[in-house]
Amino acid sequence: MHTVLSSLPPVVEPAVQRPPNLQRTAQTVERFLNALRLADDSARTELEDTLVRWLVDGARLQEDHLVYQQFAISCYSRGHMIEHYEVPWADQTRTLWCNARKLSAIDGPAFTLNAQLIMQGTGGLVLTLPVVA
Amino acid sequence: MTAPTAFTSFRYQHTDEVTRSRQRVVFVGATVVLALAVAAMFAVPVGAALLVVPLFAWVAAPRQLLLGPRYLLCGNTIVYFGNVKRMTLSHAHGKLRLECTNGMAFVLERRRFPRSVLAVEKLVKSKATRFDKLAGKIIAQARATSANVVLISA
Repeated sequence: MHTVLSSLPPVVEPAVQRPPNLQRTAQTVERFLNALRLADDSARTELEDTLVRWLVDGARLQEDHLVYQQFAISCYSRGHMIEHYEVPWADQTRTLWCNARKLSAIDGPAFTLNAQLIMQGTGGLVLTLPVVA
Repeated sequence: MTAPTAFTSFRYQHTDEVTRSRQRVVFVGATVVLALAVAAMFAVPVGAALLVVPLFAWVAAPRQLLLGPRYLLCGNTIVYFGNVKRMTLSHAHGKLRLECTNGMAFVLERRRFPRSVLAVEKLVKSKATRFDKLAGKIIAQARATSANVVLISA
């Protein structure tokens, strides 16, 4: 069953947030990039470091998140895209979402057309680190 | 879903705020509620005495360094071994300095290994042994992950 969590632009007043748990954030981003089948090389590690630091930044809100779509990862804060990273070496056709705590595939067309985050869970995603042949 | 990343934890007195696990927070909350319930239903002194349990559980949360296969976590610091470009090991000063490609640096210090743990566990290991063990693991992980990393002995 799909759940519509939010639609953009969600204009909300910034609230005082508890800083996200660094360990959990690191593990969530690690699984997010694993799902994109990014090999464990220097480019991935650099990107992973950047994304984790972005999510644990003190200015982040709980609803701030990352979205992967069509070979690019975008960082959304307060409903606006803040950062954008091309990942042409990704091997994932679905649209993925994660925040500091959770990871999910989302409905790509709904996100593209209506900026809706319709969660589809992690079913079918491979979340282990890709093995270099 | 996959199993969470396996970390090896080391007691290490970093200067950042203690991170408390969800289980610990739940335990503290539950025991506070229990103590207040006992105080309300039976006797205030007994309930007050029971508050020692959550208080101890809250205060006793250890400061740790977590060593994973791809990165280490120490307080508010995360170091990806793949981003380490230079390691400087100084046995004389008891320090291992990791410099990353993004300009960030992390210093593992021998003096930050807790002495009290040694007393409690009655281990004969010295801080130097613990430092050497952890520094060796970090160096090995960084070398395994990043081929271009440089190790300098100071």
